[in-house]
Amino acid sequence: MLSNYAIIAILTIGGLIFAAAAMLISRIFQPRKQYSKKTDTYECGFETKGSSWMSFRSSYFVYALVYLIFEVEVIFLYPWAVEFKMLGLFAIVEMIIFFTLLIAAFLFAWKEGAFKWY
Amino acid sequence: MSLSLILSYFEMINWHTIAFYIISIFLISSAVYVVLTGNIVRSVIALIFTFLMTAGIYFLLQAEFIAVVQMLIYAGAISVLIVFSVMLITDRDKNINETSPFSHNLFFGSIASGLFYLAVSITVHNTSWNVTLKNKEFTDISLIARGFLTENVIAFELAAVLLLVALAAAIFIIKEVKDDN
Repeated sequence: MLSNYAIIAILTIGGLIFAAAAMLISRIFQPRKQYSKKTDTYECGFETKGSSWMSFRSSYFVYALVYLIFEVEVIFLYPWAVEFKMLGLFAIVEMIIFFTLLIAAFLFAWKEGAFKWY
Repeated sequence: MSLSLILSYFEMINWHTIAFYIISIFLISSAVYVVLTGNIVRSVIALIFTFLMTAGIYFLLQAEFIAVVQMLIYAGAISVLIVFSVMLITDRDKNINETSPFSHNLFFGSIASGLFYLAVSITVHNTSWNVTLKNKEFTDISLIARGFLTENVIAFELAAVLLLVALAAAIFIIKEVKDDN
């Protein structure tokens, strides 16, 4: 029931208090000496070159889309697996068609070189 | 004061309503922030927060499966997709309220959103909300499974086709971009 979520609410509030307390304590004890190196962008210790607000590679978008496809697949698998015995052969065939379409999408992306990094 | 007395005080409070109001305040304020902020990156982060708060509303309605789907698909995957499309924009530090061509049409914008609000209100008003919490079948996961594997199987398979088409379209656009460079 809904009261089971009370423990989640308590954990959330506890987590918020913990994070807020950590920030507050560090704010009290931190030294506040400002110099130009402190406001620099941190990039693995190297000197930063140019703006960090640049346009990213468009290939990332395809990765996100492939991730979305497999996540939708996993989401639909769960209720299917719960009801698997009741639904019988028809559900298996449906799931195979669903899988085939999504794997076809994945293979198409692979064939078109969407995962190549050049 | 004994512990049981304290617990009885806690039982008197309607936690469901309190949680609903807290989530609603966060939901509405983050949704307003998505629209009003000029920075597109902040807008996306606020949108992710809005998705999570919507999942909270679903949890309160005891539609756990829908809530988990909302968190995984919307807050997890769709938001990553939106973040990546934002990262493709070069002038992200510009104020979108000024650069967006839709921001200047205050008149038509108000009319369009007003009509949308009207349509939603009429639909909410005319729907008979007889699905309540006592109807346990509503949240039953096997009922959802039977729904999309027997009656609505076409829609289920069409979802796969939609994803296939979306991926193919994205790949063709990106190939064009790559060829241009």
